[in-house]
Amino acid sequence: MSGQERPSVAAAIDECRRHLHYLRDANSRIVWPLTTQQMEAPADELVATLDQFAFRFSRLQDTLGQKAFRAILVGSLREPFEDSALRDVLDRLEQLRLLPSAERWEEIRAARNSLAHDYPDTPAQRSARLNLAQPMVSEMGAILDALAGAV
Amino acid sequence: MRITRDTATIIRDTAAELFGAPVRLFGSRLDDQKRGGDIDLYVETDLTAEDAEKRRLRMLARLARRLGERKIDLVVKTPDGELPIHAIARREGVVL
Repeated sequence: MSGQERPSVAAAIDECRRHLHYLRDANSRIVWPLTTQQMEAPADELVATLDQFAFRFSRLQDTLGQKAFRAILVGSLREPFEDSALRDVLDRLEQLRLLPSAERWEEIRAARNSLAHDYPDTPAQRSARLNLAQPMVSEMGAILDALAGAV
Repeated sequence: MRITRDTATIIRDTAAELFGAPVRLFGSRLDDQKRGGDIDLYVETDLTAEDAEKRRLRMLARLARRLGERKIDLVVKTPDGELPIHAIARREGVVL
């Protein structure tokens, strides 16, 4: 492995760990599941915590999907995926058992997009989106552990 | 309408799998004078908000697998509320 590639894998993993830390912090301060009533008139403190949750969820998903996945394949495993479509990267990671399911990863990506953008929604839809994103925190943590173990 | 017939078929079939309901295309992809842009989709369901959201994520995931990385927005109307965008999608949208 060249000296140039190793730092980029390590840097991506470190960045993921940092986002996961703050995501878990927000996660631990929210009483799950969230209710529709809470979304109708959320307290200021809850809004701030949900903002932290959504921001770190989004950044962790971005960093895993856009940096870490390809860096592991190319930098650590020496596989020819420099210019491959994300779909091919996900399939290969699933084959290598570094990703439990490529389709499930796409669900996490869709959840990230819903949290990152202010789509028009009802309070019931907003609480449902957040409640469905919550178990994805531990799923992304497990994926990060698997990737770190492959470096 | 600026999506291919194959793309329309994949979207329609995926909506049928997940919602058993028709899907409408609305927004900029209906305008032949524009270029690019998100694919805006609209589905109505009687499912609860939570079940509908599970299926919404799964439908977006399957579309990403089947169509590649495209910018797709999927608005799902559930019985818990009516939003202005729902009326726009019903009025302007084309059933695929």
